[in-house]
Amino acid sequence: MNYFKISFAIVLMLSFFACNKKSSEENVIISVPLTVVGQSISDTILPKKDASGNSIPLKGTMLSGKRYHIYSDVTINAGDTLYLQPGASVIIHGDGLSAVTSPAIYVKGTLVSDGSKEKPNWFTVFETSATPKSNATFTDDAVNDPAFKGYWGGIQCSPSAKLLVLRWTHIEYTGGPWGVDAPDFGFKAGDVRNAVYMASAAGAPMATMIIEDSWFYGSKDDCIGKCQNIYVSIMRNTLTKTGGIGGEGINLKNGCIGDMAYNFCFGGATNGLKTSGDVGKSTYVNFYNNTLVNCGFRQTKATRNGSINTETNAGGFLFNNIMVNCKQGIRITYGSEKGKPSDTLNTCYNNNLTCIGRGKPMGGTEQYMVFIEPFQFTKKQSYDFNGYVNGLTDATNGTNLGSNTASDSLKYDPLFVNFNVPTNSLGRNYRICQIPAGANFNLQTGSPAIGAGVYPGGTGKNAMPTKPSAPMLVQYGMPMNVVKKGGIYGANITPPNKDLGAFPTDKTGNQHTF
Amino acid sequence: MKYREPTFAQRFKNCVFMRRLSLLLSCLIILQFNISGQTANFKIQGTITDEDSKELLIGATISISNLKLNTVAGLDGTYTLQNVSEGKHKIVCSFIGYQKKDTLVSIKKNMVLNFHLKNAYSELSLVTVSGKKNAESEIIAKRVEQNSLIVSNIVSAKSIQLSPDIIIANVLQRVSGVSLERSSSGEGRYAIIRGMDQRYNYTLINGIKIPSPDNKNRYVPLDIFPSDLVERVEVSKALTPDMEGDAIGGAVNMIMKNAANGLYVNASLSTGYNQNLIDKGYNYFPVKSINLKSPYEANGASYLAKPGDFTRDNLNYTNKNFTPNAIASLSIGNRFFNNKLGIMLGGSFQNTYRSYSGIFNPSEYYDETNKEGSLRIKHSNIRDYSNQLTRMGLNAKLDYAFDEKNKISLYVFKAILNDAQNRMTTDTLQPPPRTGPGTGQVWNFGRSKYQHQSIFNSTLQGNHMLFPKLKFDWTTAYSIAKNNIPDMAEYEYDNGYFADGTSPVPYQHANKVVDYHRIWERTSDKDIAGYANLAYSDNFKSIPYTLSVGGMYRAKKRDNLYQDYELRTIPNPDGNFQLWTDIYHFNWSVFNPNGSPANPNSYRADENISAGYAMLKINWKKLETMAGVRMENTDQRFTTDLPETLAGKSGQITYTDVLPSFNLKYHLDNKTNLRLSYFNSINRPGYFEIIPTNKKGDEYTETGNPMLKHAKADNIDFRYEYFPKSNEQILVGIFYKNIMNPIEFGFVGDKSDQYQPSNFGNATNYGFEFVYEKYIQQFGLKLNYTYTNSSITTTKIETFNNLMIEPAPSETRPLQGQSAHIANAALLYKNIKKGIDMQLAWQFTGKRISLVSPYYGFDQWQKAMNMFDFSAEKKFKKNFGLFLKVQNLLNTPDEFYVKKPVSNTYAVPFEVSGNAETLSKRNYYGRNYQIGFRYLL
Repeated sequence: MNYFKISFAIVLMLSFFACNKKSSEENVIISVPLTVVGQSISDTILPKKDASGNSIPLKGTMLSGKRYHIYSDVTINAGDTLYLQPGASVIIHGDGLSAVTSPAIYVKGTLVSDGSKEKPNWFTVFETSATPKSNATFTDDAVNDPAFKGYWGGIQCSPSAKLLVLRWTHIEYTGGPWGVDAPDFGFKAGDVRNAVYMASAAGAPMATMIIEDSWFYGSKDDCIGKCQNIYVSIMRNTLTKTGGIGGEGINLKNGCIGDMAYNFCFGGATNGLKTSGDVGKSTYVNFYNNTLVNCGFRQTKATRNGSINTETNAGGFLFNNIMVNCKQGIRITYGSEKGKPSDTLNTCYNNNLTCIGRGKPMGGTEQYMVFIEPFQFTKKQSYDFNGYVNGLTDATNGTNLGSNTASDSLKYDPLFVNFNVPTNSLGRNYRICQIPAGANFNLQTGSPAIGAGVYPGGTGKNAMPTKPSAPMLVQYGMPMNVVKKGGIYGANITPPNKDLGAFPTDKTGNQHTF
Repeated sequence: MKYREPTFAQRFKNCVFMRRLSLLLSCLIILQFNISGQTANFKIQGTITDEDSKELLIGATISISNLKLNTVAGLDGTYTLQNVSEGKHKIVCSFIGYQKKDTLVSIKKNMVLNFHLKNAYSELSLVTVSGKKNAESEIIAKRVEQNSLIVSNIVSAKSIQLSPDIIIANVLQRVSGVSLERSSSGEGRYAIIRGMDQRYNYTLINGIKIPSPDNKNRYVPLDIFPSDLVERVEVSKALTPDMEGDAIGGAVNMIMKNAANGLYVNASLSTGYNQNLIDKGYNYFPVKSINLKSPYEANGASYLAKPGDFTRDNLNYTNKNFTPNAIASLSIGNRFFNNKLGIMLGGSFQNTYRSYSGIFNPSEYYDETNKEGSLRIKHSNIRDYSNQLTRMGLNAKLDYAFDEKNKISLYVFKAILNDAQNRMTTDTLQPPPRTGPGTGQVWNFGRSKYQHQSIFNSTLQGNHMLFPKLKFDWTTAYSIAKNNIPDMAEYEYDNGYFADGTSPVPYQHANKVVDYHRIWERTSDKDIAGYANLAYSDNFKSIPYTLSVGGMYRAKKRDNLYQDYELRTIPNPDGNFQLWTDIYHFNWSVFNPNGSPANPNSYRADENISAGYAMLKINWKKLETMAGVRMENTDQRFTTDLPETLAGKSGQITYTDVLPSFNLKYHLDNKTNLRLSYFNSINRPGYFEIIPTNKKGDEYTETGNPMLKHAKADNIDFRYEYFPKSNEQILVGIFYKNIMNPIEFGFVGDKSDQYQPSNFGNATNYGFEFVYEKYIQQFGLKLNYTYTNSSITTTKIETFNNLMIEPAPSETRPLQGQSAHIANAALLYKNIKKGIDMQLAWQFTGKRISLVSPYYGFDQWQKAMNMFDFSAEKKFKKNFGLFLKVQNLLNTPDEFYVKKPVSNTYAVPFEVSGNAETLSKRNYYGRNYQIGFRYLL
């Protein structure tokens, strides 16, 4: 009897210990101080007008919980700051039909949208029957999907802008043509307007753009586009439905220095992430731990890439990225209809995974996919996962004349938790640009992406890369420490992970769920 | 002030002089007897000249009716009668417009017999008007040139008529020191005078400056003017104080036809074709279907354009076969009421078709590791053009002389040029996936461009002799120039033969239609000007002098409108790309339905010039002196459509210049002059160059520059002139120009990445000119040669090891458009008896920079070019003529290149590997034939 009692107790204790082992980590919630910059903005109908009908520039603090309605262009003057407390919403009344009826936010000073995981901020359109929002039924409809209507003009930073922080912020339904203010930003009326644009003047002190944990949904053309001469830290964001019939998710031009990491791009028209310098003007941006799915199929121009692309004097580290069912994998460009050669000296890449579900021509106008575009600089690297066979290197220009193994379709499936790659390669599913509800891009056990990445402290194939011959890579490293870290005005930088992709198993990456 | 004035004064003086002389002098025959053998037949030779002016009367007839002998004076004014039997003969000498002379001569030997004929009109006219046929003659042109106080070259209507040229621009290339910048269809458009391109020259009609239809600049395209309405074209290479001061190269003055004494009729009708039309046909699109107004202009600023607002017919091409050209002109003039009222009406119509093809391989700058950047070709274009050019000119001149002292004239002129052009382009992309011929991406384009340009000028002028020694003249002028390019559209669809990577075998890609633009652009430039001049002539201790003062004011208003709509391709309902079949099946959406509101290209500019001058002209013995000073005040303003909240919405720039000048002419003898001139002149910034808005390009930002200084130049000329006969000449001249603050484009800013018009210090330009004309009996030779050397230094972009070299390096080069060597030669044949004129003209333009590149060493050069043209005319009866003109006899290619080797990995079409130069453009414009009738009374 005692024996049984004791046995029972032991089993009970064992099971208790077992249970204890499965208990969760601490979920700590400590209140953060509420910040107010300048005066609180109490009016929710903006912009206010002066006696002669001109808009009064905006500065101060937009308050948590408030919904601010914007009816025409608003400006943050040089030297001024607009701060959005966590949980502030900005609703823009626009229809995307003209620049005048598609208000924009002009930043000539500083804009900080300080959302949090619990209280994200919003910049979205005011929904009416004439300006409906998109929904899950628009999976592949560049013509009718409201996501591509460009209802409002986005956040446009002039050369005098100093700092842009978008944290845990939704930016939706942006784009459309530039209007009368275009020349101040270096554009002309009628040009394409991006969701977020920031460019310092060449030679001037470089501004800082920090975009983290934010959601971009629907843009008419490039989403974060054409930025120049700034420091960037763009991490853990999700970009969906970027570009109607062309346009990149993030397109950084000459003079940008910083990191793009843990971003998740789904259904972009062209590339998810792209960098391009200019003649004589470099740009150095690292791409690591990004996940790109279904990108590159709405671009009408041939030979544009469809995932990660560097061209014309662009350099950086490209590691730990996952590309699934994109038009092509990473391209280190030698030449294309748009681009000139990348800065191959200051480029270092490896440990990337490319999976394609449709490796064979499908006939007619149906698209198919390749791992790597030949006749460019890109080669399959030692720890890459893809079906490209390196060919000869052209001695005259350094390009690679390899070939893609069509039968390697689906071979490098990263095994997302809830996004079946074979299923999503059927029919035209690869073109879907709306993230299916409940999809989960974390990695299943057994994913080749697990443990395949470079990370601080890693060894062998996991060792952090170095390229002593590349002065800029030696100078900046990965991640680059070029922006202020921590606090409201600083970035939260996540270093490369031992797993590939934006959603590593240790959950330190992209925090978004769908 | 008006530039024609000295000419008029000159004529006035001549005619008074002429009348006096005509009373004193009668027909004078100088007989010179030569000793010769005792043959029964003798030879009579001699020269026929105008009694007053001593001009050679080419074409005058000599006849001995009883012997049935007759002949005409050749190009050198001489004649020869052979086989004249011994005895007394009545010899008759006659020439249109001159009083007939006959004389009885007894012939015993070979002899020289010179005739001096008297102008038939000189005694008839109460009012002094020079005879029409004189005014248009080459000899008068020479005389004006000889007597002009300034360095100039003149082309007469007669020589234009006999030349192969039908537009003014092409006429100008025959003038020494002038070369042309050609339009894309190969016609001359702008005159480059002594290596100074169009920005340094201005254009006058009857001495009045005319506005420009150009959208950004102030220079006037010269292909708009038909050549058959002018009496003569004067190219002045030096300025006098009574001329506007903003020419550094020179001024082109078109003197339109004046009413003659007696009825004047000059009519011609001709047809012709371009050789290429027969070979390739012609792509037609209906100009009528073009919407002249953009949706923005048609419906108001807030209108949102819909896809249906854009027409399709204008992008649908039908290939038509050979369509002949139609060219007609008519000028009629006469004087009424005892010659007091003169009327001259003229009209010209030219409807010409051209088709031609060209290649275009634009250079691109590529960074290189551990060296400077290299040149690569990214786009290799084959282009086929079809042009229909319709040119119309209308010309009316009325003058009325109240009495000998007071005369007014009204002049109205309108020129229209409509250019409907189709351009089909096939662009083969050279970067990957192209691996060789037959592979790669191909872009196909079809462009329709219709351009309407017009220049209207009306001038009311009065000339008054207030007192015997004081003359007064005044002019009011209203001019407007317009340029309208409605709905320029170029569709594009892409295909090609390339592997996408999966399939190792390249395959033919379907025609994928892509986004395109529809652009409306409209410019109008309006001038209202007033001029007044006073001239006082007297003698000081028997030294004649003229003191003139004058002033002018001109208000200019310019309006520029620009609208650009982007039409985006709509994917098919199944999400697939839209494929191209034709324009009617192209389904598009309007990306910017509101157009381009507040574009900096939409601007208004004002420019008010007020000027005054004083000058003194003294004739002291053999030295003619003119010296004076001009003062010009410039008030330039602009307004753009930008909102008030932006910088550079409007601006005003004012400045005043004092411009001294002098001209010295020393008569070594009555056939030889020495000239020395100095003038100070300016060059103003273009209307658009001072507007400070940015335009971000792919590789650099272009900005206007309100701080731009106007350029100022010292110009010195020295010329030796020898006129052995009235139609022959030898001119040798040298010139030197020092240009302070010339306006050139270059890179400025902290990172040298702002491309803007700037002042880069000084430029120099010097050279020499040589003109030779000689006639021997029926043959003539015209020859001119100009050497020019100019130099300017600007900043350029250059990289080393992928990095911009800072500060931007400077590159020294000749001025854009300046050839070191320019030469013209024309061989003339004139058989007056048979009524035949023939001319073979050769024009040589040495290599020159056609396009200044922003990149170091990338300037685009135009190859040296030899053009041969031929013309012939045969007279029938008295008043009819049949003529033939052939332009571009050898179908000379117009080629452009960059002085760098091409560094592409795979061979680029049309490039020869290993060449130190890269071909960037080559056009074959084809031969042009024209044949027609002329009626001249």
